[in-house]
Amino acid sequence: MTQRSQPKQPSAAGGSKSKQIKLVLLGESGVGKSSIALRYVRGEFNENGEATIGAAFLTKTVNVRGQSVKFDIWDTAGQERYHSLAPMYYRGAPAAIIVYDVTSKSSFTRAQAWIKELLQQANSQMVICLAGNKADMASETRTVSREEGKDHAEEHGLLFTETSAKTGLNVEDMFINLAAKIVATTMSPGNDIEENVRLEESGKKGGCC
Amino acid sequence: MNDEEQEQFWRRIQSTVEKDVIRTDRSHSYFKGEDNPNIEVLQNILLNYAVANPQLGYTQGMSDLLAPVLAEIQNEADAYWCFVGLMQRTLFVSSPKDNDMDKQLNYLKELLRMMQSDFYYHLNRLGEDAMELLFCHRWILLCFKREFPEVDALRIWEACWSHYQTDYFHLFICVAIVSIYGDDVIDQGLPSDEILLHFSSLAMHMNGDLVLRKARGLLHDFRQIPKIPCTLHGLCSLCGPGMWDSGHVPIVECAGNHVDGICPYHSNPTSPTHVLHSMPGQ
Repeated sequence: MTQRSQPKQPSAAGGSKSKQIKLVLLGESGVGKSSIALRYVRGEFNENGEATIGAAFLTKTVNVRGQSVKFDIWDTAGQERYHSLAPMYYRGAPAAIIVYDVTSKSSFTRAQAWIKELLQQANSQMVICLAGNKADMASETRTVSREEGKDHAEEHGLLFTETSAKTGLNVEDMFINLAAKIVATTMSPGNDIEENVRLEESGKKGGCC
Repeated sequence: MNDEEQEQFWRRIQSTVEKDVIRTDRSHSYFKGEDNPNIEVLQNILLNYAVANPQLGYTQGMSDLLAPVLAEIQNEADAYWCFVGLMQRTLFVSSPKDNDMDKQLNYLKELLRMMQSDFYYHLNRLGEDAMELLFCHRWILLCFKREFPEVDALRIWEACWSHYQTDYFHLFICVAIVSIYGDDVIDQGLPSDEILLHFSSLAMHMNGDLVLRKARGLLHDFRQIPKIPCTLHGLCSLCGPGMWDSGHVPIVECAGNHVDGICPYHSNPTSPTHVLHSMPGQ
């Protein structure tokens, strides 16, 4: 598939000032991608939310440092069967959240594979956040330590956080920090998201939260 | 697969099934509540099916298709065999691979082009992403189960399973939904992501009776079309002379829009308007 542009819908709120940020959620099945999106967009949590089939799309407009930002959130299905469609979701997206479950080692392995794929295939300036979800779970069920996640994120220059879609922990902050990073690097006149977002390391603080 | 790969394969299936059964139809009275034993039955059937059909294994969505069957039959062994039959019939399992889904989507695109041309050309103008028809993948994969309340969804399942005049009635239902609920997409010039949002917001709010009636009408209309493009001739494999219009056989005409220039219906790439006056096997 080749690069193509899509007509942008004039944004209703915020006039021409509103910045649209396409964000894609990736990660193994059952790590909580849809729950993170629902928590952020609607403030809801459903313990038994059904598996995503195909893809879902949600939007939310927020104010980040005086700039109105509209998130176009692509929530993808976790099972690899749909993998061939993945490039369509992340193509042209300036932001991605790669989610794993802190109680599942295999989901962390899958997250590493996603990181690799995005760094190789996607827009090299994409701002990526690695998120260890289900951080509310009892510590004895945890199989991926905070340090392990953080180290891996730093190694690849990604933002990092641990979240809980159930309690809401760090969910909002994660989106705001992603937006702030994108906005900050595109504030100077004439700049455009696609061209100028620099993926500078997040190493110093090791996290977006 | 070597032993290690095989073990990993099963571990992955088991963990996906375990994660899915606890989030399938949990508001349904049959699966409600903590430690509901029916969830384990659901899991047993899916794992047994995966063991018996390792080439299919488990694909997300299977639990969605099985749950209403089990809730209806309420017996593990019977539900297992019904599920086996269901998997043979549904698109879902006859086509776990992407290229089978592509075939369905290509048929649907052609149906939209013929029967909902304004909608089709809107998508076409938006470009390749819109032409992936993301908004209806779930409709097809789960046979509209998450789009309508259970009673309506099951009536739609039966309508599709009857294979009355076509194996592709579900595609006529897709066209019916577009025809009834798609005007806003064109009027507001929605981009492809908003189209997905538009239709997913309609889930559980659409009128199942109306959609079924419309789909039946569309199938009827389709069968009245004197000339159908070669790209849709497969849709008609069960569309022989039926009770409505016995004797009518449509002319199949090469649509001339094949990627490789070769018409799969009649390989005569040099003549794009080549017209055949009979259907195979008729």
